[in-house]
Amino acid sequence: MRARATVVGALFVLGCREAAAPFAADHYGERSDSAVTQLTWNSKTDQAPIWSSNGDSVYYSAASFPGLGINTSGVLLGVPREGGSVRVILPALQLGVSQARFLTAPALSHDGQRVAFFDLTLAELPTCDSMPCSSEQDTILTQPVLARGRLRVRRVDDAGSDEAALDVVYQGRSHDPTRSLPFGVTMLEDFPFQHRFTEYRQPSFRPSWSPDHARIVFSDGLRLLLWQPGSPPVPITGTEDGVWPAWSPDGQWIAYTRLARGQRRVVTCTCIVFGNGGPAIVEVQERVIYSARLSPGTLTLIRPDGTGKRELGDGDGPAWLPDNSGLISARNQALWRVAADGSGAVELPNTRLGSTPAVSRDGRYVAFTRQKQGLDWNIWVLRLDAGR
Amino acid sequence: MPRLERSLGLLCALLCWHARVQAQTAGSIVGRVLDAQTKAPLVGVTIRLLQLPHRSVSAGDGRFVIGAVPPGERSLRAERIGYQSVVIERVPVRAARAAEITIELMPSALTLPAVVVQAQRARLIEPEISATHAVVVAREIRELPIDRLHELIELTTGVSDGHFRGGRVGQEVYVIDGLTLKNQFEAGTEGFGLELSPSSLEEVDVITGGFGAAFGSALSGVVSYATRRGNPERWDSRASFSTDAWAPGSLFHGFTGLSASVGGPLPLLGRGTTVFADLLAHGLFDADARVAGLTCVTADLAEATLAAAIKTLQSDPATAQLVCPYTSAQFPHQQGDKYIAFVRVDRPLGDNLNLTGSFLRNRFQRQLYTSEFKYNPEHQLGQRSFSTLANLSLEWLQQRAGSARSVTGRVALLRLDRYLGVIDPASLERRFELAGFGLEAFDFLGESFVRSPIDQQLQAGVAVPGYGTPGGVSGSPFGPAGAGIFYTSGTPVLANWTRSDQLALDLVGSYFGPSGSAFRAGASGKLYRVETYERAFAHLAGSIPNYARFFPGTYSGFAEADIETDDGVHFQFGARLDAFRSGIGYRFDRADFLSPIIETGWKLSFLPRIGAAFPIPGTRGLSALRFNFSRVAQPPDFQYFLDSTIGDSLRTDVRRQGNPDLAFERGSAFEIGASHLFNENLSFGFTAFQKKLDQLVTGSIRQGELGTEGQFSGSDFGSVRGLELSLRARWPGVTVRGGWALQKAVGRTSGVDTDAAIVDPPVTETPLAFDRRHAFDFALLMGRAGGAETPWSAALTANAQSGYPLLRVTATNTREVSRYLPWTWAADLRASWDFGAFNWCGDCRWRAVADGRNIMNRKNVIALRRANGGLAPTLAEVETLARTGGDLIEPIPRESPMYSRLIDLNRDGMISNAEYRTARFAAALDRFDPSLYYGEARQIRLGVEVVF
Repeated sequence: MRARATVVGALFVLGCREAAAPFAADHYGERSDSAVTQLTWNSKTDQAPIWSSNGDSVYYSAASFPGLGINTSGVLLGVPREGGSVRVILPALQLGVSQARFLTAPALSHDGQRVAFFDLTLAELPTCDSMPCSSEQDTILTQPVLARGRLRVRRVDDAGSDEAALDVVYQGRSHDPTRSLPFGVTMLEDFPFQHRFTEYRQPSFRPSWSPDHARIVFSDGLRLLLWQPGSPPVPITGTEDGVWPAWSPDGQWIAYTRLARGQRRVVTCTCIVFGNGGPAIVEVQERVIYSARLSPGTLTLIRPDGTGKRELGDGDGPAWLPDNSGLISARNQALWRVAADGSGAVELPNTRLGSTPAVSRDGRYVAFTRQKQGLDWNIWVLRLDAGR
Repeated sequence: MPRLERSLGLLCALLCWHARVQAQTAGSIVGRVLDAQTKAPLVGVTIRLLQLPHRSVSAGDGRFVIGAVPPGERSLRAERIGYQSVVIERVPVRAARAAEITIELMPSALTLPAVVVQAQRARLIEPEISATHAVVVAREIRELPIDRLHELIELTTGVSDGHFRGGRVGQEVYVIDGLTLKNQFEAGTEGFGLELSPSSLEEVDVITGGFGAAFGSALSGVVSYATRRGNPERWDSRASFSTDAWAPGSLFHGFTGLSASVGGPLPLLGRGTTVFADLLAHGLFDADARVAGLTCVTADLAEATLAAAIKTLQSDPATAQLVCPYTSAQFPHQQGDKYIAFVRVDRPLGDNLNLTGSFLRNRFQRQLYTSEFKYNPEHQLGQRSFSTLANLSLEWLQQRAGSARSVTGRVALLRLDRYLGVIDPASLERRFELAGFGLEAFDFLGESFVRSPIDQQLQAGVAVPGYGTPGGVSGSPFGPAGAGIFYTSGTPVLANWTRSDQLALDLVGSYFGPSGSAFRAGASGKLYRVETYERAFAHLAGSIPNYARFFPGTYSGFAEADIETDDGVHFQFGARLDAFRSGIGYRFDRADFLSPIIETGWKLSFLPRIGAAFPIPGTRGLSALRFNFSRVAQPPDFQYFLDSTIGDSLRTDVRRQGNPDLAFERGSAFEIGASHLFNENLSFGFTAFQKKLDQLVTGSIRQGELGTEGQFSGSDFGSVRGLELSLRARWPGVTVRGGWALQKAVGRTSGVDTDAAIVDPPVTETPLAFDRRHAFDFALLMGRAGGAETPWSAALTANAQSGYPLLRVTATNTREVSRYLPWTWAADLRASWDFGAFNWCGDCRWRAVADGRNIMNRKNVIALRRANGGLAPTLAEVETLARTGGDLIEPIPRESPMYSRLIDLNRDGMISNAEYRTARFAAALDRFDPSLYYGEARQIRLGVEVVF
């Protein structure tokens, strides 16, 4: 017995000792479990956060990712909820490809099997050495760049090709060759959704899945549409200027933001280029400018069939709480929680300058974007139960 | 009883043995039997070895010869009617030696029990030997603090760090049971390549000067191993286990050793058949434990400017963490294991014929720490070698009164297979491993592809499967700042293997005369099949491997005589003829495909050897003189026949064109020595020697080779002069050996170490890189290790040596010594205590063993940076490496896989270019860690040994 115990003891001692482990790099540092955590720090635009199905990661759209090998305008990434290194989601689509894309506005189906997102095509803007306009006001406004988008549906595990796709044309930029010959006139209508995208890369046209993951609601910037993959999209009546749709977890409601346009004003500008032969006109632009293009939107609920519409006050980019009891949206440069009936609005602490919230399925966390300056937007996570 | 004591004393005083340098598996015993009272020669006395079938009968002059005696401490019995029999124990018969003994028998009318006496176990002087050598017998080998025989050889005066008397590594040859073997392909870079377990040996004899004509293929030394054979009368077994798993952190290096041997009669295979088997296994977590562990460049090691930069980093709390982010008592990526299995069977085929077969198998594998891949968790460089030796010898012996003849024929197959490449991490994960030792061999990435026919590889035109471009930033503490300085992904880029098959045939005839004279002659031939493969950029599809397969051969014949004159002068004469042929035709100018192919021919070498030894008249045999002169030669390492990248520290990555037409590396050696016995306990000896070496292979560019790639040539030459002093002492239970070697090794070479075309390169004389001026060795064996019958045993060994010269190439392309490395010393100790038997194993004897290396924890510095002679690089070197990556194109945010918190010095979530530069400097500093510049670590192991 003693010998056996000795042998067992010796094996235990030998088995417990191991070779020196190589350095284990802790690149990110300590994980934060504080009320609010900054997940992305880059100086570019991170937008449209959503939660992974198990809630351990936040998916979002970033302006670029160095691991792709090519320059992109939008890439879909995932970052751990506590912070850490990002990874490319849908790697078969995004890695090792030669064509630069602009992917944005991911939406995960409720069963976690599919992801819908937009693949955008932006308008190419002329380079002007001079841009005289008919009015001195607002001549420095940027031009709408959103031209087309393809709403794509793929499996989250990235197997196979697109399961469905839908082409969407965004209003705001058109050309009338019959006017102002020989150049024609380029008509630029700076809709609020265009302006939000042009200025901040906010994809207010984002898709949202129905709870039965059979339909998708999205916006073309001017209204909401329902799309059952395989069928043509159907507009939802009464959702004019509706953006940022969010289907309620119980499937009864679609929350969205209605963006007011305000007064309409037209300015004509001429794009002039100075070449070797002297100044030359390359484009004549007719710009439509809306006075309320940056005003807060109105949080609105409507049933999928277009009935029951009601407004809940200011609120951009709404997100439902998992129990359908209320929504979180951006209001007064912060995130607010409001009951589904519009009562009990309360500002969430530590969310100044936050927008486009996404609530985790367990209702404990809110991922949101926060603007640092200009196009520098980062992803943050707020812990809703912190301090309880 | 007084009479018996007198007899014992007389016998002990007269017993002695002489040794000659021979070339055979076994030794012999020659002697005379005298009447103890009348001193008259006794005829008809039967002398037989106990436990062995050997016997002889004394002739009319009382002389007898017992030939072909297995080495070891043997017991013999002398008996004749009318005389009291005598049993003499522990007669040290050594391989390739003749032990001379004088036996006196006391007349007795009665049948009395035999008188048992012990032979003098260690002779303090050997007045009949002209060579310089050192012998360690099995009993001592087992008690010494050694893991490898290399450590035992280092205890020989004149051998230091694998260099025999200032010679290059590989200038020695190894003899296993009389069979001469060498790693002829790459001995200069890889050593012997074959290892025996210390516990499998009966004797080790290290000859550093004056080796006989039987030995060729060596310029500087001979190491002769005699393996153990089974006891024909009973089974003897032993097993030992030792480990440092118990040790606290800094002492734990993950060593676990298991050794077992068993031997005894095997009558199933015929009467008198014996078998001996031995297994040694080492599990190693840190296969090359260094005293500083994994360390880093500290300010106290660096010159002023770099020290200031390090202190600046350390003084700022934000940057202090960048200095030495990872240190460890153990090295990472150094795991490995080793096993040595040996079995030997001896079978008598009649009265005069004995057949011996042995099989030796080695496996040694380990990861190889490289600082560039320090932070790579997946892919590490590793080396695995398999060595296999199958040896069959047939020995014929004719024993006559006063003389013996023997003829020994041997045939052996030796395979050395070495693979260097990237270890497949999956194979490491799936192998069962206990205490660092696993049964499975390492697998290497793409090994099957790399070993496939070369035509198929070229046709495939792909990278070695599994290899990837080294790179990556994630995983190192420096993140993106470590890019290009550390590789955290991808693989090392080298795939290299060699396989050398050798068929050795050997025939030796010997005659032992009654006067102790002996004559020997023999011939041997070795046929090789060598394959070598090297792909330096195995991760690139377009890279082309260097591959060669060729069939060289070496042949030799020798004759030698040992003659003893009546006045005790011993002469050794000998001569040998060596020949080799590379078997490769080649074009000198590889770029000119129209140039003729040069067919290489036979290279010949005739080597006379002479030696003499004699007691100095008038000293009553207490002093002796000896001298010898030898012409020596060895074929160059076959690797120099082939194009190669010179990988030594001096000419890293310089390519040289192989030269299959290289001739013998030659030399001549002369030595003179004296020894004196102060008293029965103490002796002193000195040897002065001079060795001149010529036609040594060099990679330096020869004059007149402008416009062509440098070719290996035999144009280096050098000389070694030295003086060796030795001290031997012996008291009951205590043996002391010590020695001091003073030498100067210089070489004359062109000194051109680059590919730059230099007209008429200067030839200068400089110390050789391994010119170690002073080397002390010391061994103290006490208790059982010293031959006493005590329950305890202790063996202390120590060595101290001056440092190697640090050579640098001057602006005029000559070499000069910039400084010498510091002295180094270390002490090892092995002690054991015999607890005897326990109830549950009455036949077992249990011993507790403590085994220590570098027990004083001496922090030896064994290498320095050539550029500045320090342990640390210069500031310029660090800055140069740091600058190689350029600047950041844009800041790195915290969510980036490239982000590293360590280098985000202000913790703002963004790594700016300024932070990046600071971290890159620190990463470069870390890359220059001097860990491998330090010597062996202190190791303390505890274990148990059982003999049964």
